[in-house]
Amino acid sequence: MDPIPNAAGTKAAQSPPAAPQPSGVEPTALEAASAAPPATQPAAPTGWVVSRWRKSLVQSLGVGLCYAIVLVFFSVKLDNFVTTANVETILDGATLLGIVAVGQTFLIVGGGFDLSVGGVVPLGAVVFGTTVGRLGLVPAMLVTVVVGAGVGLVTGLIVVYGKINPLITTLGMLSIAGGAAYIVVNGQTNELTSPAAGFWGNSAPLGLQTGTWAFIGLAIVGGLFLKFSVYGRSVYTIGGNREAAELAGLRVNAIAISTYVLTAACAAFGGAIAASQLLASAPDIGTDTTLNSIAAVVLGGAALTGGVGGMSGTILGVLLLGTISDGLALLQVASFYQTVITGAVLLVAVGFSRARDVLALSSFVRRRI
Amino acid sequence: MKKSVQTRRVLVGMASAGMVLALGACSSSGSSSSSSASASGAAQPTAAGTTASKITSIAWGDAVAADPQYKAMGDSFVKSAQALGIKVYRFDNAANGATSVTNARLMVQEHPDVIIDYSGIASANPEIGAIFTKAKIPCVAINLPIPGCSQFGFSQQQLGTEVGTAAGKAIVASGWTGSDTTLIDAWSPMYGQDVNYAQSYLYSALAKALPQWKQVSGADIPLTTTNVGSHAVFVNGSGDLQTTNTVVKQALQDIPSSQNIIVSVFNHNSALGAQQALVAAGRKNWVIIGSGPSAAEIQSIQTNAHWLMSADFFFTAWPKYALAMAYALHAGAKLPALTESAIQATTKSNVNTYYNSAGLLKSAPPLPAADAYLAPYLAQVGGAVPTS
Repeated sequence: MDPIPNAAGTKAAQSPPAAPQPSGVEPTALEAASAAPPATQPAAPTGWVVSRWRKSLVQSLGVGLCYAIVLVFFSVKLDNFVTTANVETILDGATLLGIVAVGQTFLIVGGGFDLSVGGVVPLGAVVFGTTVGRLGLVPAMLVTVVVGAGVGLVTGLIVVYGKINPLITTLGMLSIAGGAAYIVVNGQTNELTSPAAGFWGNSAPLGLQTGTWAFIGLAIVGGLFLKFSVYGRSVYTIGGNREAAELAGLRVNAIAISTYVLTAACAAFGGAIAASQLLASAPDIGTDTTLNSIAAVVLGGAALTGGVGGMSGTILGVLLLGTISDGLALLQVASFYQTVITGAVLLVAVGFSRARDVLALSSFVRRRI
Repeated sequence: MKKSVQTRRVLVGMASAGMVLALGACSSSGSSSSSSASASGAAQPTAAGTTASKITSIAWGDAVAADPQYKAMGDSFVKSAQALGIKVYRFDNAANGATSVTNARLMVQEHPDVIIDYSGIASANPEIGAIFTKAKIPCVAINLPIPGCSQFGFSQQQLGTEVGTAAGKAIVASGWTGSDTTLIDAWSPMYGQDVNYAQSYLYSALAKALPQWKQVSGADIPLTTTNVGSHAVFVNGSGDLQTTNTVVKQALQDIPSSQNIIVSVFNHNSALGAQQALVAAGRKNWVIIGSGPSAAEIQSIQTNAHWLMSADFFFTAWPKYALAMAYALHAGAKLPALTESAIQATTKSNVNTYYNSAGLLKSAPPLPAADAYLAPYLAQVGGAVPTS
């Protein structure tokens, strides 16, 4: 899995050199700090700016605290909130968004983002739905993931080599993939009747669905991979300072493309799991994952500018969104108000993190003075 | 400087003259096209004894092509019209008011003989009506009224009441009572009050059969309602598979497992989402009241004990009715403000009267008496119109 075949690149990823200084210009402290892979980055920041790792940690704590407040609130207000059945409902409901957000985390940490997931999820759902009856579970999953990865590959190639803004590219791919999903099933919803089709919706240990365990497994593996593998640290490095990463010998283009592939593959995988859980494939499954997945990743401490973020924060963001939806429904809040309240809580969560960030910064500045 | 001004005036004059000529050409082209349609169309005697030139083109607006039911309706219409040699300009209103208004302008630009528009966003319809009226093109509004157009649709209140009454009888006959039964109503508030009346009136009619339920009129159940009494939960299923699945799962958290459950849904996708939620939750005693219905839903009523009935407005026959109305308008017939679709509760006992085993409509139900004018025009289009 080492994406950096040359010795220089490997060295750069494991033991980062100081960021080169192009044209004699002094790099800022932030650039110097972000050029180094975070795993080996010293804890103390080199300048007055708090390190990106610390920022991420602060924001994760922020959303974590916000999540805790939400949990306490609903637990107090609702008798049936802290029950096994409701925990299962929240986790099962978070599966699709969670799987998409796992992929999106790699991409956002690497400095990109992908709006096309809202098209790739339904495409994955309908591809799975049309193939599982004929091919069986495993081949159908493989076909689905390969189709998703193919979309990601095209997106990545256009963004990286076509030098086209990811916003426009992924918006275009959102439309293409979403439209393709309608074409595959001619706009119809198909019930999945083959025994294999319902695999991801089957009950598994602790009452969770198999698909939910797949999400948990993917989140753990993805988190470890992002944090501890050479590839993951390279993603951080590229997201933090692309130029420095290039000068350090990282295969920046290949890694950037791979994050698009990974994200789209996760989205297609999530679509297949959703179709399996619903026992039906429809071209409108998961169309709301575009902004929700980005919101979850950013809530979890990632910066849209790249180089910052982590899987644990993303999962917290996913759970926060799912829990608010669940709690408001149990409180029987009208759907119009639910939308407003959800948005407000998200703003509070991000604002709270920002406040902590500012507090941490001023505390650091005071110490330096 | 003076010479330059003169030159500019000459150029402006030439451009103006060119525009006038071009407009004249367009205008005469439109006229000749019309005339030629009349001439080549070999004026047809209608069954009503009137004569009409052949319809050569119709502009059709889908409510939202992304929804399987609406798409099937549009596909069926196009197929039927093309079989009659009619050119169809098709637009997707995408359940969006602004898109519907833009489409209305585009429809007018095509100069069709008749416009048939299914604009699902009521607030956009006055503007759409103004566009059609200004263009002086006869129009048919599907389901929701558009000013200046003849409307085809049905009373949501009446449908809800009929289905609620039929469901009440079936529920009581099965031995369920108001005390041990809870309704989950997966409606779609964002589509507005009118189309959700079928759901709120269904509750009020159902409650009459179950006296333990809170008695309330359907008109008094606003879109922000989340529960009525302790035996009815209203959730926003948004008319889609996944959302309905999620909200029904959430609603089930609050309903004891001993309760019998009735789920009323907005469309077939919602029904599938609700069904999967009930199965996944391990519920045993539940029934679904569908809406539409699609062929798959009809088959479920025919074969699945959990599918109680469907609020049936014979959706698949609508293209035929709309086409017949277009013929009537083109023939100069005076249409009533509202031409009503047949509606009924399609249950296990009457489903085979109208549908075959594939879930397809085999015979349309009788037209309401007020729609008698439509019969000869239906005869004109009937042979070429699929019933599904």
